[in-house]
Amino acid sequence: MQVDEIAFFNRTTGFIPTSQQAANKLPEYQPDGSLRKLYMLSQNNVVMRPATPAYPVISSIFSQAVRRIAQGSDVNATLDRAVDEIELNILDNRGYQ
Amino acid sequence: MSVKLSADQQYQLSYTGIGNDKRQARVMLLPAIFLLAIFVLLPLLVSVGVSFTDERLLSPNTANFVGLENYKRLLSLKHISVEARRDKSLIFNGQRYAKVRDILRNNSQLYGYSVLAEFEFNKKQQFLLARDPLFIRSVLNTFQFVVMVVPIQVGLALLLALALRRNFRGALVLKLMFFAPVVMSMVVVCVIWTLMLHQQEGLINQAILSIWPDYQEIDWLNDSNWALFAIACLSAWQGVGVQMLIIIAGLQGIPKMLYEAASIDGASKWAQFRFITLPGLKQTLVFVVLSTTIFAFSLFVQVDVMTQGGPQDATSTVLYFAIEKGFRQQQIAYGATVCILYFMMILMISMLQRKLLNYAK
Repeated sequence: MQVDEIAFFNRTTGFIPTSQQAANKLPEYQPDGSLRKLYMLSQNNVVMRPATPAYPVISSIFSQAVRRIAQGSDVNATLDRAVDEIELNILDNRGYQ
Repeated sequence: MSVKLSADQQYQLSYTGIGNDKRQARVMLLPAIFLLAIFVLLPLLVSVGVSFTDERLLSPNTANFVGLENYKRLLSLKHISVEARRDKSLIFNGQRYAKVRDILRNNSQLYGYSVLAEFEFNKKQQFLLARDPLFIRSVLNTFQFVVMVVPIQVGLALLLALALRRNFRGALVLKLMFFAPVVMSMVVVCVIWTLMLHQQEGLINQAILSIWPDYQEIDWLNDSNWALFAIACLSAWQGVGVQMLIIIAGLQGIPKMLYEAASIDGASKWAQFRFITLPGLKQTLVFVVLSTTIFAFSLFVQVDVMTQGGPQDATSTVLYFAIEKGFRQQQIAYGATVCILYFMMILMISMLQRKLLNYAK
């Protein structure tokens, strides 16, 4: 996306902008804006989710696995099972090509 | 012996209304049939079609025809027997493996299978394998739930109906109280019960502790032995009001004079219940059991709100599994296959039940 598009998107939705140039175009997120700290905070701390189209599946299977482990399942067996499920899903989707 | 009726009485007895006004009846059926066709029949046909493909939500790939692959994956079962050595390694087909998973991944005919159950027999470790163990587990869980909830719910409804059949002072208030959970949203009921079932602070454990001081608190929703039972109790409590009302209506249909005749003959209260109330209620009870069974098979909200299928898959039900696969993991064709298999299963069970219980209407 272009800078103007990001700025337009964030102006309309109110979300934190995803690039420095877009932030500079928005009054709240400019260096002296009231929400600048929020922008700096997310710039320094945010971890991006893996860029894969399998994300919803991986997220669902992984959260199930974490829940099972939290409720007392064997850690290795549960993670093995999650790996098998994710591999099967990627195979079913022909590698998400 | 046949009884002679006058022409007028004969007409009243044989009048069904529909036979005489066929055209009017058809016109009045049209809107219902139209809506059923659009919202029930059409989706059903589409999902039968989808279940033969690998269609998925939000995928750029076009769907391919895969035949019965989805059905095979759901229902495939296999059995292997493995020799277990003392150092915990496993011998299968003359080769040594460290884990069961290694056996499954290194033998092409076992690829895609995982362990459903294991037991020891004939000095060998026996493994029952399935391509989708969670589905089979979910089916078993659902049946277990039905077997628990139907007796609890119907029994409780019968007791309540017998207690509230006479219109004593306050009966209406009690009826309203028992009917209130039916009107309440299931999600609200589940959230309240989640608090009530809490191990330390929950109302239920506190109440049992005050009666029985030696009681070890059960962590209802996080104990795989108790979670499904807790959900069954909550579901019975939530749905009992409807069944209670139906049974009260059935009780009012039993003629009073039968009870009068029985008490003149000196029949005890139990004998009156056994030989007048139960036979008189038969059709009502059959209907209540059938409808409770069908409702019990559609268990989803409680699991989704309270346990998310946990602890150790003990509360995963077929519908929860279908939603999890079909929507959250986006394999809509697989979810559709689950639902179609499930639909056929419920249909067969209902017909069998109807036959077993001699339902006349």
